[in-house]
Amino acid sequence: MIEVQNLAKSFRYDKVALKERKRKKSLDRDPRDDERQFHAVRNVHFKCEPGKVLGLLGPNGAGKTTTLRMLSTALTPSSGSIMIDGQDVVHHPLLMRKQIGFLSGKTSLYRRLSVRENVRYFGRLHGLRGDELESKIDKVFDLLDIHSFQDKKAEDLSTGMAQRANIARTVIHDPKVLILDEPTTGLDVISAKTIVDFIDSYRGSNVSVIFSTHHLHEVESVCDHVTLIDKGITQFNGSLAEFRALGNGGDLYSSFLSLVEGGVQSESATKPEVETVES
Amino acid sequence: MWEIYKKEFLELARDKRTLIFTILLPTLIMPMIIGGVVFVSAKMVKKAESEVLTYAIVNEQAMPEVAEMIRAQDNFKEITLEPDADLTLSIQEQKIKFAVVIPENAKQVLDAGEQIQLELYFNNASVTNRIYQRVKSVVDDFSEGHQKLLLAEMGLSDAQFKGLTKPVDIKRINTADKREDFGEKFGGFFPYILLILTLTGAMYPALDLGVGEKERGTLETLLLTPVSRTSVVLAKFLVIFTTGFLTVFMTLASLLIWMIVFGQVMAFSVIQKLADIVHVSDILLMFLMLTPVAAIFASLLLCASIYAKNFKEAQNYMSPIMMLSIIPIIFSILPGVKLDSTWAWVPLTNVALAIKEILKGTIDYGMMGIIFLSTTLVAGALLYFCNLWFNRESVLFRS
Repeated sequence: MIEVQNLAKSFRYDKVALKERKRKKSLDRDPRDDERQFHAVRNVHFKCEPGKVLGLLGPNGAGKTTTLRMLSTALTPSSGSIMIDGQDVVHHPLLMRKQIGFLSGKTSLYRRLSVRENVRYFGRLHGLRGDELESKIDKVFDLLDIHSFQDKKAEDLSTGMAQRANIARTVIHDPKVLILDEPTTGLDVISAKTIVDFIDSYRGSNVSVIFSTHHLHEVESVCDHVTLIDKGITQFNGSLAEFRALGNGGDLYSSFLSLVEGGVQSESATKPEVETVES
Repeated sequence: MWEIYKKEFLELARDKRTLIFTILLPTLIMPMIIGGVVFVSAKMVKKAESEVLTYAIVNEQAMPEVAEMIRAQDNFKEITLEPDADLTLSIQEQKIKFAVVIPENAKQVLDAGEQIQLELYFNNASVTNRIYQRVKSVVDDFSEGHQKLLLAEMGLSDAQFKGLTKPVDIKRINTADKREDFGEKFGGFFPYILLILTLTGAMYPALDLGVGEKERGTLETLLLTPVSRTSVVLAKFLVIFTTGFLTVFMTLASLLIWMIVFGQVMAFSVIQKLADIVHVSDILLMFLMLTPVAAIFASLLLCASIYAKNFKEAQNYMSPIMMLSIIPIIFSILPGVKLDSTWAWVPLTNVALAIKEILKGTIDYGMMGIIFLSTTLVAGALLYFCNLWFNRESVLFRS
């Protein structure tokens, strides 16, 4: 289980950013913006049990990616705690990386290596070797239907193929916590469905999945719980049913808008089908 | 760490740009360019020496002996011009290649024991023309013969003539042996080439492994594996270090091979001469001195590469690094700069001076120890700094 409490992250402005800030002084500024720092994440908390999928929602710039990068150990929190099965992620990042699988738009594959070489390399970095590693690769490639392009170099893959290969890289070491930051963005319907089905396959397993997306229909189909953050603060934590109940007539889209500052003006979350936005 | 090292090498080996800049350029393209230039220049000089030169002599009657001597030369062809022809124009119009104008009173001046001056008209703009040398050689022969005649008339021997024209002369006795002489002559630019090759060889891999990975999004993927950032830095550093070192080794080896391949007798004799003077142990010593230098360059380049936001910014850092590296090497060429206990502590200058001393065969091994120590300290400090940067979010994720 992964448990996040009072998580916060601030970034110091560099000289260029400070100059830019002074120039924009008269314009409306984000409340997270202070004299010297930008408090991207101010107070985020949630927990995700094994076998459950948690949907992390929020408008663009809400702090979702920063939160997920802290969970992945790429960034160190300014304050707060992240625990996996009672073990502190912040203070033991090296140890906890074995328990975490992280995928985002900023994590890519080595383009001059084939898909299999890429996944094998990351498997080896996680301490896997020999037959154990090769059979794990075959198993993951079966699940994600990768065998047909496993010998292709990463630079020659389509977006959908690359994303599936990247997911294989993310799960090769059997992580206890799987963190996926907008894994279906930019994919065609079929590739997106393969990935959503793959996430769904973790329900009921011993893996906790944290899944950030702007596509509410994906939340509808795979998530058990929802956490919504806005301006770096958790606005909602609860089951999918509880989240749905917030909106008019059980519509996730209106639930989303009711929680986000700015309400209906926010267009971050995409609806499953085209509807007229009511004011 | 070795897992990352192996992977980085595999990736670099599959990168066309790395292959071109690190292997093809120094081992094939550079020697081919140098060889090509030498080959073409040699051919052009040979051609210039054997070229048939058309010429005209003005006032031949004033000194028919000189005219006769010129006429007797191989590959000289006399052209008769109009008596009032413009010599410059005739050369411009390619009617003749050169013209010799003998003063009308040449005979009288010579008979009076004075010096005459012949005028040689020719186009000296061409780099490869040998007109002056070829005509001068004929005139020198005439002068020598005439001089002997005059000396005989005056009853002077050659020795007396020397005593008359230059009563005191200096004979140079060089105490430097062949090797020291060679080291002094080539010890200036040889370290320069070695050090610059080390730097350029490491440059592209450093860009690829630092900012290249940042831009492609693979750095973050790597940082999320259970490998310490120190191991990541060390692996990347070692790859850059190896590539820099490999470039020097391959360039020198390929130059040697290409010199033999070009098969020029002169080039081969140079190799023979080199082999007599510089021993294998000296080459090993030079490579030993290059080790900490390659480490300094690898750390410095990795620091710049990892700090840069993008490839373009990283490339902007490369020119100052190049300048910073060249200036200390230039110090070693300056007159009066010798390897002593002060210069031994100045990074890069010390190694350039040490390589010079190795070539001369006068290296002080104690001094070499100081150089190795000081250069290793600098490389270690830079690597430590690089590791610090690799642990800073503001550097790794700078945007």
